[in-house]
Amino acid sequence: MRFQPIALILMLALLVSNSCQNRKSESECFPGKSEQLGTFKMTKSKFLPGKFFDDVNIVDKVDTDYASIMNGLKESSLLTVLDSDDEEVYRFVWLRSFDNPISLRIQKSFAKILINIKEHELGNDDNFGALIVDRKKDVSIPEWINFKKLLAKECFWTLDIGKDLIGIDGSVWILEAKKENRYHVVYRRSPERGNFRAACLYLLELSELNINESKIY
Amino acid sequence: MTSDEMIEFYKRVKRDHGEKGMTFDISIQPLLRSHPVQLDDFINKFADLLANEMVEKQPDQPRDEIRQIIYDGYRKMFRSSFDKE
Repeated sequence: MRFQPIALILMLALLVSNSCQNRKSESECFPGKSEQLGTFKMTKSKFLPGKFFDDVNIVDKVDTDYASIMNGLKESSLLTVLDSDDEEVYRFVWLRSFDNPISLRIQKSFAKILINIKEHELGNDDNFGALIVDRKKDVSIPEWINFKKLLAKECFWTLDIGKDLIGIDGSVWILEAKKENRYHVVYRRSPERGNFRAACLYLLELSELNINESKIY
Repeated sequence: MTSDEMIEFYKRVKRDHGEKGMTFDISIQPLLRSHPVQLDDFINKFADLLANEMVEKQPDQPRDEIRQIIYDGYRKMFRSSFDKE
């Protein structure tokens, strides 16, 4: 086979470009697609930005259901409270078709970092389940740095919000973020790989919730 | 009280009360208010101390990043607490 220098150069360029992408720092990605709180339209429940439901027909019903889950998890909207300029919050809401809803909210205030861990019984239309886990745990600064690095690898703040929110079975992974009073939310349906999934699973690891491998979907 | 004395105070609080950072946060704020220490100098030394303690426990961790988070966090915390008064 003849040596193809151009192909080799292209491959090297691609490798360098990929490795540069993986080294992105948060400052390159923020503010990205985040929006200043108070400057965009919210849904009726005020839990999410209106655009979250752009591809949903029955917005009010889905919004009400989402608000019920969040109220059941005793979680507040991140959109309605302005924080101090050092407050930084990320909330992973994990909605699985056949398993309990879970919310993991990691919050840095000054040099103090906590993760709030909530799990709600799945319940059904007639019998909305109970909150079965509601605790918080200190997070170390190295753990916080690890989490932020996973987000930076994905350039989280520049990601599109998501598409195809409504689907048959599977799960929805929602990651909200609030920093310097700017807000961004991204969701993915049953993500199978990538740093978005890795960042969410890292919060799960920090939570010390024992979720069986077969329930991670 | 000098910033070095403040650091010694922190070490004493930690020795007497264990790892609970809150104990220290609560204890030290009135002291900082009543003693016009050079705040930035103190926070610099404090951030060094805490970052070194963390890296001693986990040597593979990025000391400078850790130190920066501690420095920024405590600087803003002390400043905002003074601004409220």
